[in-house]
Amino acid sequence: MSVDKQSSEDILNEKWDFCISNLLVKTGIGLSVGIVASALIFKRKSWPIALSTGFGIGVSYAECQKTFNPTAIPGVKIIKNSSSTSG
Amino acid sequence: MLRVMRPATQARSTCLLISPPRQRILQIRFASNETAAKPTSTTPTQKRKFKLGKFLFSITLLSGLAYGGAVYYSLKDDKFRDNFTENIYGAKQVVDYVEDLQRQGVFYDMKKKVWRIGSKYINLPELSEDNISSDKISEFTSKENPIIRKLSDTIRELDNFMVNHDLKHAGGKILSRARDELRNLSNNIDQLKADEQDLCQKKLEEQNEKYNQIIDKYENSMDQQIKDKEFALKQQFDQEKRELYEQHYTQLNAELSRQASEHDKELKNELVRQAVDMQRRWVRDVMIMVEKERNGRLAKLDYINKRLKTLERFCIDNTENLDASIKVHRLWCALKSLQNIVEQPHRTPFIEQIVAMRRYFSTDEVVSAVLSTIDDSVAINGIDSVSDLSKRFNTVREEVRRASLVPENGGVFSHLLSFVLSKILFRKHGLVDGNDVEAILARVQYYLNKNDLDTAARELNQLEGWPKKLANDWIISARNHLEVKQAIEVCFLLCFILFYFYLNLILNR
Repeated sequence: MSVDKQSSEDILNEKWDFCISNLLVKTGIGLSVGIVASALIFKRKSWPIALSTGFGIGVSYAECQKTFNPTAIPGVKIIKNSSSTSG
Repeated sequence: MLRVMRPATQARSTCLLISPPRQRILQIRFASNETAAKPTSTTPTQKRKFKLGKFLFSITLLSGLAYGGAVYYSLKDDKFRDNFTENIYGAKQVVDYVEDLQRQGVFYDMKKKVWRIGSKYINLPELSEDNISSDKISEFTSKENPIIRKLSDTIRELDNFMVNHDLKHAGGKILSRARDELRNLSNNIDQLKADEQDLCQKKLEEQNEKYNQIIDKYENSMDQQIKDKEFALKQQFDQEKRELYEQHYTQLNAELSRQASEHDKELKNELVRQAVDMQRRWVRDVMIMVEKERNGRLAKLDYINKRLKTLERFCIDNTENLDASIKVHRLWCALKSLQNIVEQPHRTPFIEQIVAMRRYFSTDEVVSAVLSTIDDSVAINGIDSVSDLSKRFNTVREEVRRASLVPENGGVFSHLLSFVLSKILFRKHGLVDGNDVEAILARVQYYLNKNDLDTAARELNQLEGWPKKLANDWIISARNHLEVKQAIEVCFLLCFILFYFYLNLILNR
C-alpha cells in the first residue's frame, strides 16, 4: 500500500517533479514548434520560436499552478466559514 | 464259730450217749441185787421156765425197761425225745400216749393208790401223801436219779398198796428196812455217782483234751478252709462286684444314654424354640435396624450430598479458576507475543496474533472491545516502531520546513519561495515556545528524543496547512502505534487484574 500510495511528505516533491518535467516538455514542444514555424512559415524569423517557447512555458506554469493549488481558479475565490485566508 | 461250737456240743452229746449203757449196767446190778424186791411186775414172763425163755424174758424185760426209761427220759429231755422219736420205731406214739396219760393224771392216781396201799402196810400217816412226797420221797427224787426215783415210786406204790390193804403194820418193818436200804442204796449210788463223776470228769477231760486237739486241728483246717473260703468268697465277691459294677455300669450307661437322648431331645426342642424366638427377635431387630439404618443412611446421604455439593462447588470453582488461569495464561502469552512483534525494530504484520486473540477471547467483553479498536489494515501492515518514526520524522521535518512558509492557497511561486527561503531559516532546538512551524518541529523533535511519542504526535497535530498535510501520514502512523500500544497495555492490565483477582480468590479460600 505504501508502494501504491504516496507518503504525505512526498506530495510536494512529486508536484515539483511533475511541474519541472511538464515545463521541460512544454518548453521543448513550444521551442520545436516555433523553430518549425519560423523555418517554414516565418522565413527563419526568431520571434515565432520565442513566442511558441513562451506559450509552452505559460502552459506548463498554468498546469503547475493547478497542481499546487487546484482550487485557485482565476476569477474564483473560495471563502471559508471559519477563517478567511488570503490566497 | 458255729462250726467251732458244734464239736463241743457233739462231744457233750456223746457224753450223754455214753450214760445209757452205764445206767443199764447199774440197772442190771440193781436188778441182780433186788430181784426179790419186785416179784409183782415179772409175774407174766415167769410162765416159761426154760433157759431160752429166761433169756427171752430178760431181753424183753431189759428192752422194755430201756424202752420205758427212754420214754420217760424223753418226757424230761426234749432233745433226747427228738432223737428217740426219730430213730426208734413207734416211739413217737408211745411217748405221745404216755404224755397224754400224764396229762390226764393217771400217774397221779396211781401214785395215790400206791401211797394208800403203802400206808396200809407201812403204817404211814393217813394224810402222808404230802409228807412222803415232801420229805422222804423228795429226798430221793431230789437226787434226780431215775432209777432211784423209780424205786422210790415203787416203794410209794407199795406203801399205798399196803395202806389200801391195811398191811401197814405188817409191812412196816419191811418197809423201813427197804427205806434204809434205799437210803444206803442212795448213798451207794451217790458214791458211785461221785466215782462216776470223777471217772466221767477224767474221761471228760481226756475227751476235752482230745476234742480240743481235734478242735484245734479242725480249727486250723477250718481256718485254712475259712481262709480259702474267704479267698474264694472274696474272689466271688470281687467277681460279683465286678459283674454288679459292670451291670450297674451298663445300666448306668443305658440310663445315661437314655437321659442324654431325652436331654438332647429337650435341648433340641429348646433350641428350636429359642431359634424361633431368636428369629422373631432377629426379624424385629432387623426391621428396627433397617429403619435406623435407613434413617442413618438418609442422614448420611444428605451429608454426602452436602459434601458432594461442596465438592462440586470446589470443583466448579477449581475449574473456573483453571479456566481463568488458562485464559489469563493464554492472554498473557498472546499479549507477550503481540508485544514482541510490536516492539520489533521494523514493521511486522501481527494480524495472526490479533485473529488468534479474537478467537480465544471472543467471550471476553473487555478484550474484544479493545481488539475492535485495532484496525485490520494496521494489523496487516504492522506498526512503525518509535525509532522508525523518529527516523521518518527527519524527512518529514525537512519537507515540513520547506513548506512552512507556503500560504494556504499558495501557488507555484509561493512554494518556490518557501523552498528557497527555508534554506536560510534558523533551525530551532529543544523545548521552544511558540506556535510557528519551526518551534513545533523543534518540540516534536525534543519529545521524540525523550521517547514521548504521544506528546510528539499531539504537538505535530497542531500544524496547519501544507505542513499538516505533509505530516499527516506520520501522525497516523504514530497514532496507530500508540493505539496498539495502548490496547496491549490495557490487555496487560486486565491480565494483571485477573491474575490478582484469582490469586486472591485462591489464597482466601
